[in-house]
Amino acid sequence: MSAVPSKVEAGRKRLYAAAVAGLMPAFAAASDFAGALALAACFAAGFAFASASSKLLPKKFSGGDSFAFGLLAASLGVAFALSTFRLLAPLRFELLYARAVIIPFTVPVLEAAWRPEATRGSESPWGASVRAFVLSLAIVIAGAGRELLANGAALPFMATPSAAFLLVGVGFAAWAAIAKRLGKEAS
Amino acid sequence: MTGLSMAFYFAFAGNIVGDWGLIFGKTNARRLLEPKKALILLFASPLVALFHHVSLRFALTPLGLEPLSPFVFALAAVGIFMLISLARARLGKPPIGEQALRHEAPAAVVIYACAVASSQLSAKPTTVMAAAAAAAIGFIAASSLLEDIAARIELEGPPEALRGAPLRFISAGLIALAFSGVDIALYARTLA
Repeated sequence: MSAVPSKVEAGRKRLYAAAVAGLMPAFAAASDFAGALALAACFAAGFAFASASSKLLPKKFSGGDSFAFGLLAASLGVAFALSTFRLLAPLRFELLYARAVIIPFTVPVLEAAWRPEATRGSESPWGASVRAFVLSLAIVIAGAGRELLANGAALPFMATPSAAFLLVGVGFAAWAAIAKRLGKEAS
Repeated sequence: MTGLSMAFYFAFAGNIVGDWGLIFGKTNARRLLEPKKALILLFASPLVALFHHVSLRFALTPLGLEPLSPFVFALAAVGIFMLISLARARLGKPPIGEQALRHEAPAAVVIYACAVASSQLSAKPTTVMAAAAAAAIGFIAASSLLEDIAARIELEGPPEALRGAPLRFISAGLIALAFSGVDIALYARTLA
């Protein structure tokens, strides 16, 4: 009985790892808190529209058609978020526009556009909402963290896209080390 | 900025992997580096860049509808998918399966990123197309380099916590740092 939950858990972990890797364009562009907040809002809008479209579309549509609708819905969601952002902060919109428009085509949003039965891991509406929230929060934390580190004298390169790769790599390594230690203690 | 200098810029500094954060897992990266897929990427990027440039410059920007740019790209991608499906049905071939579509979808983000990146730096369609082709070459070269570095480091027996994704990201970060160094040293002053 315990093998089934552990397989589901492993599937969820893989889903999160793939989503974090797929969101690298947003992590690379989010070099400060305000920019990260805007990118996270674009991602959340795209994800929500794609997920809702794939879940609400009648079953008579094929998987490919459902995915196409999901993709169009995601790009409309990001367009709405970008339009709102443009009204609120036109200068910052000009800076982030090019990076935000590719968000509907990133792996986590594309995964959300698939039919629930075609995806791995938990795909209940609640699970999808939690995933969207966690990934949006990760973008904001990464942006705020990079801004904080780049303002000091020691790590000025934190404002460059390369810092996002390094932070995510170190984060993954720390996560793997902690998980291994916790696993050893539990056994 | 001339087409040649933009080509050098995208191949050596404004790289899609380093500057735009586009990195794939081992399986997707290997699939994109297959000669046939790489050729498709190389030819599709300039065409998509031209489409993006023309639609943005002559339709969306005059109307103040720039945020709809991803929707226009998605609409075009869906239209092409439907045309290919129709052609396959006419030829009596089976429809494109969900699995195949899922495998090909990540390439779309690379093509679109090449298009957006190149159309930002020039107003001339021919220069934009040359830059998009250079961006695709830069992406293929950087991905190939990253794959080789990851494979080489795995042979050294790194600590268990660093194996796989962490090493791939840290290697990509170091490559991106080198690219941004080249960017600052050679190109940033020219572009400013």
